[in-house]
Amino acid sequence: MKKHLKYTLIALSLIAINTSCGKSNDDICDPNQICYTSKPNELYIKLELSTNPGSGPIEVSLYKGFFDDGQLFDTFFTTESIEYYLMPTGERYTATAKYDQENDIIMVIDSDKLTSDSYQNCEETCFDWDEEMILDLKLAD
Amino acid sequence: MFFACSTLESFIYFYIFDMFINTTDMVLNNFRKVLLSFSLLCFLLIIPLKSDGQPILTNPLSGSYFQPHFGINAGTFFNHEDFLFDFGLGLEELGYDFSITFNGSFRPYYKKVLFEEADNLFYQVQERVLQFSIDFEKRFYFIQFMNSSKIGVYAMMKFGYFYGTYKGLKKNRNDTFTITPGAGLSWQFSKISRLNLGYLYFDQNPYANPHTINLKLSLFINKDEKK
Repeated sequence: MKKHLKYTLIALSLIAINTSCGKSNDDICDPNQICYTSKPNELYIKLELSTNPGSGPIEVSLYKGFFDDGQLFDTFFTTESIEYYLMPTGERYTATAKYDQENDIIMVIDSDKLTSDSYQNCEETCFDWDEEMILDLKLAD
Repeated sequence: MFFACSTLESFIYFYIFDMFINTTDMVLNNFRKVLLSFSLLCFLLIIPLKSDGQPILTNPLSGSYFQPHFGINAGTFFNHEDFLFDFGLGLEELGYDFSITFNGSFRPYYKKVLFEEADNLFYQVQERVLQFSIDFEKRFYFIQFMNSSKIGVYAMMKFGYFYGTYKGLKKNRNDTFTITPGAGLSWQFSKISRLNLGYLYFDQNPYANPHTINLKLSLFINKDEKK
């Protein structure tokens, strides 16, 4: 039994070490791998919206930083289900969408940091990024 | 007149006889149930599959001597609306069957919640919740087996600090000091491990049902175990 405990603790420690520090799993050495060595300055933010239950256009706002502690960047009205922004990387962005439902206003809020990942390929730093950062401003079911 | 009287007498006799039969049948049925339960208990207590699986009924309130150990635990509490992980470490007292541990609990994903921010204004945000707590747990074992495993019940209380983080909002919300009670079944299935299954009243969780099922595995370092 003591052996079992020892092995369990060792296994847990190994998992913790493996997941917390050391080389990233993305680190490779493949000279044929396409490597983008320059960090992207701007990336797309995709805003996903629902149809407004109140049938009017939806008021959409984009903030640099948090909603309660950020800077309002832009506000507009839309009836589209998808909107895009091209924004500088390395910052957090928060988007809000105001829906009318009977006599109430439902403000949907979502936020994330617009960043790119980096990894080492044969001692060269390569950058990788998602096509777009999605902010989910859809009404919950 | 005679005929009527005879019919009445017959009716009374028949009624009493029927009642007697029914009562006897009921008593026999209950007796059969008692006998069956008793036989099953005897079977479980006297004829175990292994010699070290012999169960012994013990006094759940009795303690032995102080046996403090270091222990870790991992568990979850969940219901149809929520799911949280719970990890902890601390003191495991095996003599008097209690534990005092420091625990951290968290929801491992974001959940969409809706709350009223002002009159006619609702926020729909994505929420994660966290809680840090000192957990007190007392166990009462009433069946012990020769192989050292025990079965009983437990009662616990989490004294902690709870808060929610919300995507897009810098400030945490719904932060509060909390007392979370729980109880259930406890099975110490070896000298170094225990499994608890029970109920936890997680009332501080603002946008989910407070009634949760709590499942927890505890491991402790026992120097007295046989090699």
